[in-house]
Amino acid sequence: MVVGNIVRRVLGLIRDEAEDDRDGDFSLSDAGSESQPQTPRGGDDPSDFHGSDRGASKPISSLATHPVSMFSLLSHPETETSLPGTPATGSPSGRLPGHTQNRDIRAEVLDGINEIIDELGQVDDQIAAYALDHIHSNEIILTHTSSTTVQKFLLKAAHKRKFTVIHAESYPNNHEATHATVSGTAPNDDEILSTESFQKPLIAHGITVILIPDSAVFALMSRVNKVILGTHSVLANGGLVAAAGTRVIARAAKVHQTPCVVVSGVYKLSPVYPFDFDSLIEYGDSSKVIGYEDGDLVDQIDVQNPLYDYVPAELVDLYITNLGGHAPSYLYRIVSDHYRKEDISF
Amino acid sequence: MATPADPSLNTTSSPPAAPTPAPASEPPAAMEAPSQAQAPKAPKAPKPAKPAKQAPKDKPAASAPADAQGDEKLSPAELKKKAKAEKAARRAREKAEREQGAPGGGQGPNTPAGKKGGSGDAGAPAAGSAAKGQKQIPRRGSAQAVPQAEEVKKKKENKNVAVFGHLYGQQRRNTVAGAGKEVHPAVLALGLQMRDYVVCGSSARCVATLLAFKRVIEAYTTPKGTSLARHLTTHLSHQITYLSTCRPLSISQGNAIRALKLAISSIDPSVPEAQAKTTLCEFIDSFIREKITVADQVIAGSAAQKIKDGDVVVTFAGSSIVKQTLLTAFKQGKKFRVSIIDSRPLFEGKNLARTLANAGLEVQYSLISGLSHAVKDATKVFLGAHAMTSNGRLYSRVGTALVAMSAKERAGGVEIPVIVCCETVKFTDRVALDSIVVNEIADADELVLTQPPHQLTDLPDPAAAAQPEPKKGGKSAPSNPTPESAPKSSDSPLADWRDTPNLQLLNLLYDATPAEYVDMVVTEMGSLPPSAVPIVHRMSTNL
Repeated sequence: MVVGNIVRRVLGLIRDEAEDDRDGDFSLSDAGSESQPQTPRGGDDPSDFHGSDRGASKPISSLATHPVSMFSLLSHPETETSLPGTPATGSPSGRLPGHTQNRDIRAEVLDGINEIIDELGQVDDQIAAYALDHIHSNEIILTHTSSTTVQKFLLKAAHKRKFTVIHAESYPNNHEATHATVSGTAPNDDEILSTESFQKPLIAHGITVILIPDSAVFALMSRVNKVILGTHSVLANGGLVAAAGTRVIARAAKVHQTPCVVVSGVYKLSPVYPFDFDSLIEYGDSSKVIGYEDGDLVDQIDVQNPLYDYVPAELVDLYITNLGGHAPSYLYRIVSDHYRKEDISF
Repeated sequence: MATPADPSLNTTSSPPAAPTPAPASEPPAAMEAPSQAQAPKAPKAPKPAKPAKQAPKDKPAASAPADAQGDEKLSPAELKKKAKAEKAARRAREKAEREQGAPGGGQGPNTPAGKKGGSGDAGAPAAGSAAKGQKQIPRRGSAQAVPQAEEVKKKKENKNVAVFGHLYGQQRRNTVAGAGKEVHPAVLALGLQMRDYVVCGSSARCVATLLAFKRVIEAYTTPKGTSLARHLTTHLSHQITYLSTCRPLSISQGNAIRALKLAISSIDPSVPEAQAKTTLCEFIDSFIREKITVADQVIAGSAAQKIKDGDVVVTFAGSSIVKQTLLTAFKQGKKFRVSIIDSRPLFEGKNLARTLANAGLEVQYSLISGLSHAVKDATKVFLGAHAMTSNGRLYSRVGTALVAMSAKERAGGVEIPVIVCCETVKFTDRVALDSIVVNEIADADELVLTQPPHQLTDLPDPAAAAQPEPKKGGKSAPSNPTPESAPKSSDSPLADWRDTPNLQLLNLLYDATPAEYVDMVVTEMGSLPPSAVPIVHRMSTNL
């Protein structure tokens, strides 16, 4: 989904450039529609593939945009050159016609893509900059899963303030990463050492971290001042698709009148309106729910392990993106700022 | 840490009756149990009598007469030697702590006296060594564990989650060592079973407790000079104290014990002992039958009527009464699907899933993270109870509240009826506004232990045995855990959580579901709204 968002933004970027160059040209829509059928193939495959590992989706998404954007770029000059009118009518803006102009577009698009990549790199820090506005001393914060965005957000606040974090472990899909985050031991994967793994964990800043099983959320909610959630993606209606278990937590927060804050980069904002929630939910490996030692059970019963939850907008009180805080009802505006409506459906 | 002087003074105050000191001088007796078990050289018979012997003769324990010396000479000497050797070894290890620790300990004044006096004086060293035996042998049996155990304790205090400070009682008992000698073996075994969740679930614990008490009563003989009604109650209270150190008593256990005590106290002192005992055993039997066995059948029968063809029944964890209900409904030929929600760390739902699947029901199983999906197509929610509080709250396994809440707050859907199956013996007059007021905190290490990769090997013992190792290793050198935890990588992040500053693990056992989430409580007295709990409770206790 995030990959799809980035693809959309790149597409929008290309369109912007193309529009600038040939403002009001009738062939624009041709060029756009010509490149469109090709991008979905590039865009959908990685999103399906990478959507399953949510933690890695961010860096991968920025990588994945490369082939996609290159693809569309390569196709772009072709379509333009194939269109007879383009070189001739592209000149009214006063720029150089023909190939030089195409190269110009390509360079600008690449710049734009680089900007997006930069943005992706800075998103967490930008979001974290709002942390001090939202976390105050001696608060009890409840969070869920091992979202780096949330961790950075909390870390930023931890520099200045003392508070308590209650961390639900999100068993069975993300509990190991959560345990690692909580205890500050870097996950012993052979992955490239990211900057996050060098960061001090919250506990090193003197923040008390309480790890609880997911089931204890309701019991503790009456003492929690604020719920801060990470997300997988945010939908245009203000709802979000997040790790399984988030919906119950958000619901419990609502019941206890505890504010529920979702931190998310703008890149997770998706222009999709969820009419069919089930299609947004992926199901994971059921062996995580029932281990191999209970293999006899698997034959007899239907084991389910959903990876994501759809959380309706009314359960969320505030979104914090790298652009600031927003009400869920305002998200559609940000969506329309970032995506062009031609790209909403691939 | 009761000094030997204290109980001896106690016994002086009540010198004559030989058996009566037993309850009075309980701490030394309790501590003697391990010393007898571990050091068989120590003569068993004289020891309990010792305080009594000493008491009249020498109040200042140091002035030791030389009677009863011959038979006890060997054991004190040996004990002392052993103690000295160990002391020397310990001294070598950590001088400073030893120097502070020994005088601080209660036997401090006694030990030097015993040493100076040599093996000549019997009374004081006997008492002293007995104290040593009590105090030190159990600890030294575990060798270097002494400083570490202390460290763990210190750490542990920090590890208590502040909000739940009132819920951290004493640490749960790990062995039968140190249990009072009055505690019946059946109760001893039951205590450990409850601690390890072998006997788990409110009704099961209640029944097991009552059966164990029945055996206690069968084995009981009234000592001379007291009446059964008066002494049996105190005798039982020892058992109860022991059980509650293994695991805090459940509401149903408390109710059952209260009823039993009432029955004991209402026995006429003139009734012969044998007859009184049979009366009590019959009372226990009928209590189990009426309040639990038959009640369960009645509840299962009436709750099963609520299940219709085509229903999707959601349940949480593994309640025995819900299981019975579902099986009853299935036997009645109803066609329905069961969706079981489970959670860490106990995974009680697994057993339920297995039983139901073996019986032929259609079962869907997911963890609490998949709750919102399971509830989506549900038509009814059946929940078991640990207790029902007087303000109508359902007090049950942690996570129940989430299930009930999801059923009630389903987005855009119709509310799903939430039905609680609960015997009236589980009703209590306690009130709870949230899950923090009344709760039980289980060992947080359970959160670390139960990781699927352990169970992959299907060898729980090595896993359990390996568990303390990272702890100790972590204490000596923080870099240690990495090689140890390398084979079981999933364990690594939390294995040494006790040593990680500011990190706390919280393992709650119960939560309180608000009354508005419960539509109906099915009891053996009928189906009630949750607000009827206090009335039924009053009725059932007055009967």
